[in-house]
Amino acid sequence: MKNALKKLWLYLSLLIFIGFSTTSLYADDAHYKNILIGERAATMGGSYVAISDDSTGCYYNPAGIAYAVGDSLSGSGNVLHKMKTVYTEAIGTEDWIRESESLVPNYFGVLKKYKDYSFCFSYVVPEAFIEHQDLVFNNPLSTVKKYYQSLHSEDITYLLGPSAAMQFGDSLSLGLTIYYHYRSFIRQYHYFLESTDGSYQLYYGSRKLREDGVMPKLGIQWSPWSMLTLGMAVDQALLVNSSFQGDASYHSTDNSTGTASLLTTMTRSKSETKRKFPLHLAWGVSYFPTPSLLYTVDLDYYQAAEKGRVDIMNYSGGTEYYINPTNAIRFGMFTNYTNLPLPDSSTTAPYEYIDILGASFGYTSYSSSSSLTVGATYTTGSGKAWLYSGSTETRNMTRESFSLLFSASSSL
Amino acid sequence: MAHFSKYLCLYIFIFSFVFAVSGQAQEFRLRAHHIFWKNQEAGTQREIDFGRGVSAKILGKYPLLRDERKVHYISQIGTGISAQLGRPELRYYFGILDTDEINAFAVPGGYIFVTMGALKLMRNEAQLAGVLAHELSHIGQKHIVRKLKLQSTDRSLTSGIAQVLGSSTLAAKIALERLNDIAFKMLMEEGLSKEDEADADQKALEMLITLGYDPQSYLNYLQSLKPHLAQGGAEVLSKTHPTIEFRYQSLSEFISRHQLDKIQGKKNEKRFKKIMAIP
Repeated sequence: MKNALKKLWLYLSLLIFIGFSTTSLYADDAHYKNILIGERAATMGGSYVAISDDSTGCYYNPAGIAYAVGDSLSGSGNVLHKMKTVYTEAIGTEDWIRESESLVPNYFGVLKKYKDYSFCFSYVVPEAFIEHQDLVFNNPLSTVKKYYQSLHSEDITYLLGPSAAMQFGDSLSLGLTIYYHYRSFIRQYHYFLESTDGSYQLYYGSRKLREDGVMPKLGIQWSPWSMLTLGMAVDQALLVNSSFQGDASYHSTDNSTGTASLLTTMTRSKSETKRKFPLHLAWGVSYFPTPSLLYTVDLDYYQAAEKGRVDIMNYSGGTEYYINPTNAIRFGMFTNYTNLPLPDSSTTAPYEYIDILGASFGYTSYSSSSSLTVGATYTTGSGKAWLYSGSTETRNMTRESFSLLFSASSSL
Repeated sequence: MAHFSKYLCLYIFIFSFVFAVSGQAQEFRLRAHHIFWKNQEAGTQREIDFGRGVSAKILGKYPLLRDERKVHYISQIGTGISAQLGRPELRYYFGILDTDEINAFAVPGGYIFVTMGALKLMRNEAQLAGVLAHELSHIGQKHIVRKLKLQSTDRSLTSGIAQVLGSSTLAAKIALERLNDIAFKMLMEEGLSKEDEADADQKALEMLITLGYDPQSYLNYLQSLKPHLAQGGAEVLSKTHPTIEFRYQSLSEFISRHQLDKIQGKKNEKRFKKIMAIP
């Protein structure tokens, strides 16, 4: 019984650790819509391809900025972005909870109009994942005196670049954004295990990755009929540099034979493999029945570019309603489906299959030359997780996130 | 799906260009706040244009005093008060009318006139500030603008008058001239409602207190008007402000109710008398 418990404990702790250390280098590259950008766009579920008529359009559809009303300066940030993932009964009978929290200004844009041309410069943070976790177990088993685990991970993607758009007649516009893509990832993992016989294990691992690339985005907007706009945008990020370095050191003592022995290993690995990003096509339709009301729907299609990924289509829709000319409310819903293939009996860890649904809500107050928006986004999803390395055993998992949004725009 | 997505971009691009000429202008994209603030701006410009015309009529009736020192003085006092109005879109102009008539006028668009007769009746700067604050309140509260329905903040409610002011046709110019006459008559003969006058008094008092002036001085000024009204020394004032007694009573009650009589602000009597050359 004692041996069985010991095995169970080591199995769980070790396998969770291994699962952790071999999991993807990317915080959540299985989903494409983890953070909604902008003020109007974010509060309408990110459905903005057929609108895009402010500086946020540089990100959603650069063609839309051709219809911006005047020059503007805008910025927004997720005042609070919290995500919580729960793996049911992952550590024996206990749930394993992972939480991330970030406070990242995720958008800044300045837009300038000149005759039929519009120019914009924008900064976007479409992905930001910051996680810190400390776990301490005292006497978890009769043979283990103490187990301590610490993880810190930061994964942030930045896009920065110019946009230009041009109107062709009253109803057609074309736009282009060229973003510089920069991603910074660091993860540090540490654990300490002390046995009751005095032996211990100490592990420290560090990983860092930097990516540089470009992401061109081409967009078109067209109004075939009054009150209706159609939009389409296409983009794909291409990396020109990717440098990864992983370091690990392991130190252990073994007293089981009565004579203490010491084992120390250090390893370093490097890689310059560039990941391939999906081709992203976005279509949007917006209907403007009155100056106080609009409806918008977007389809986002991602064509997988790497093995082990599948094509997916995300859906989003939103509405905007002006209570009066200076106060508007918005609501939107969206999907954030996983790009991983459906698991089968041969699926092994690490693997998470989870589809996410989200809703957003916002309020904007307008003055003659500025606007202020507060909003919130909530997402939820449930699925399965393969946590234990080499095992097909699964656990139920749920994921929830909540973001508070704060944005401001000013005309120039 | 891959084949489809590969060519979709091209198809939409060609399709859009072919049909672009048959498309629609994009005014429908303007949101409620765009329209509202555009109308506000247009309304302000209409108010200024209208005010210029009415001011010209006033200056046709009374000559403007060419005393730079006095005009500069009341402009300084008035500009300080106007900062509290909450209408930064307007630029305010202050003038002294060279007449012994006792009166003051607020013309839409930011034009304020005080008569020399009224200035002679005043005893200190607090009283001058009170009169200017009262007139500025009429502009701040858009009393005349609203009475004449010069402005509209909603496209669907745009009044005929507002449209006239925004037009450059001959008919519109004639209509505008007629409108100026109505406003001029309102300022010279009919006056505003007693509610608007009382409202302007209360706002004026609040501004005086905020600026540290003696609120009682303004009440004293209203009191000092009474004998002139009775003797017929303020012919126009008696027509345009027939509610002096009502205003005095309302303001006295307001001061008493809020215990404002205990506030002792500055009067700047010496400076006022020096600049106004009152012995």
